[in-house]
Amino acid sequence: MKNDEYGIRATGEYAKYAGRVYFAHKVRDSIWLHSDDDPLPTGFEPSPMDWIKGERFVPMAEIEELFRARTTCTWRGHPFEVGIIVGDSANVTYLGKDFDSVVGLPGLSRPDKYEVIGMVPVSELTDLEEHIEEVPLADPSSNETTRGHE
Amino acid sequence: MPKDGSHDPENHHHADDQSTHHESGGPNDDRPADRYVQLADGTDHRVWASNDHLRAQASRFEAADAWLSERGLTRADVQRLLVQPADWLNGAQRELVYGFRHEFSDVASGEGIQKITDTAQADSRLAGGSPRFPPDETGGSVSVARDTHHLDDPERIYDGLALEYEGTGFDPNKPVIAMRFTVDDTTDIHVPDQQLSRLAGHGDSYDPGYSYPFTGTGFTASDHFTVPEYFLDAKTTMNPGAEMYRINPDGSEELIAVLSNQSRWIQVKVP
Repeated sequence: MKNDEYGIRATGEYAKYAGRVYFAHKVRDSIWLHSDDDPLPTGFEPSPMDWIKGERFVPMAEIEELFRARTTCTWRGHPFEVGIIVGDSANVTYLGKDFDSVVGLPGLSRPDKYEVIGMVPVSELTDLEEHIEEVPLADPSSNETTRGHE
Repeated sequence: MPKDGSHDPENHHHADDQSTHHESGGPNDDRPADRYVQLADGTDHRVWASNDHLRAQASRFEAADAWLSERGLTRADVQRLLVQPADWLNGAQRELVYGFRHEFSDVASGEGIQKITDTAQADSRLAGGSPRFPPDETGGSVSVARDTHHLDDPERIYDGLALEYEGTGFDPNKPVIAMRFTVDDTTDIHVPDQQLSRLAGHGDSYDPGYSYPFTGTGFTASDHFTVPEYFLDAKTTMNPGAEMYRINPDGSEELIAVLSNQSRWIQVKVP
């Protein structure tokens, strides 16, 4: 992902681990950390995913800070959320409700009734805004309630 | 097009089929035997959400059908009203649709929920996911899994969930993917009927603000299948143990992967 090169943070979770902030994905009491470093940081393994080079699964107890970023923009007059950037294109998710109109724009598709996503040139994004929400690190002794099957 | 090839838009036989099916046996009469599958990581998984399991569960339609029956009605009588935008209904129709919808009980703790996706999205999840499709996250329009067990092939799913819309990636003749999962008790599961609720004088509910095929009645826009619709917020987390099925045009379904504790879909080993 080339978000750092463009100075546009991808919408998602970020975790500070061993003094460094990683793009992340929290899974209950653990978290996936992602890295494109070459070589990968200590303890990271090559990722099976094609959008990131390496990953590490660590307990939340080892995370120093957690926050969510949400980057929004305008593209061709419509509101979008910005995801990861690959090459010179950004993954975007439509934030409006006129799905029938925007789905015809180049690079967009409609994987669900009420969702339009796609990849569009980073150079065409305007009105970029970044919103940050700190996520309190949960008390490790607390238990989450789950709706689960046996 | 209806499953039997009929083009009659007033044909409501599928709703009747649902009633007939549910009335053919009480809950647990034909509970499937325990079945385990081996996953690619070497673990065993006990199957819990196959169509056989869903079909064997008590029907949530019984109370709603009984409520209609008390009024001398059947689902076939009201089906055409369920797909109308709420502001197209007159006062009596609004009260009827609202009353029918709210005979479906709240989604209980541990209830299996179903999200239909296309195969491309499933491939992304199986490959580890992406920020666009994190493996364990979903959202938008969903159903209670047992409510839609009768939508057992892509054609019925396409019709029942109103997947014919501008730019749809679904095709009634191609496989679709069903993710069946549970969620945390803290997860909001919305009944999307605010427009109807307000017009019928019952106050606020949930309204995503969409246009057709969103109806605002709490049901999907199908002429032939009664499907109580629910909404999950974006990025709702599915619990581990979620099952991913490929549903084929011939009506067969294959369990292809199970969501692990590390938020990865682990593929089922083919014997």
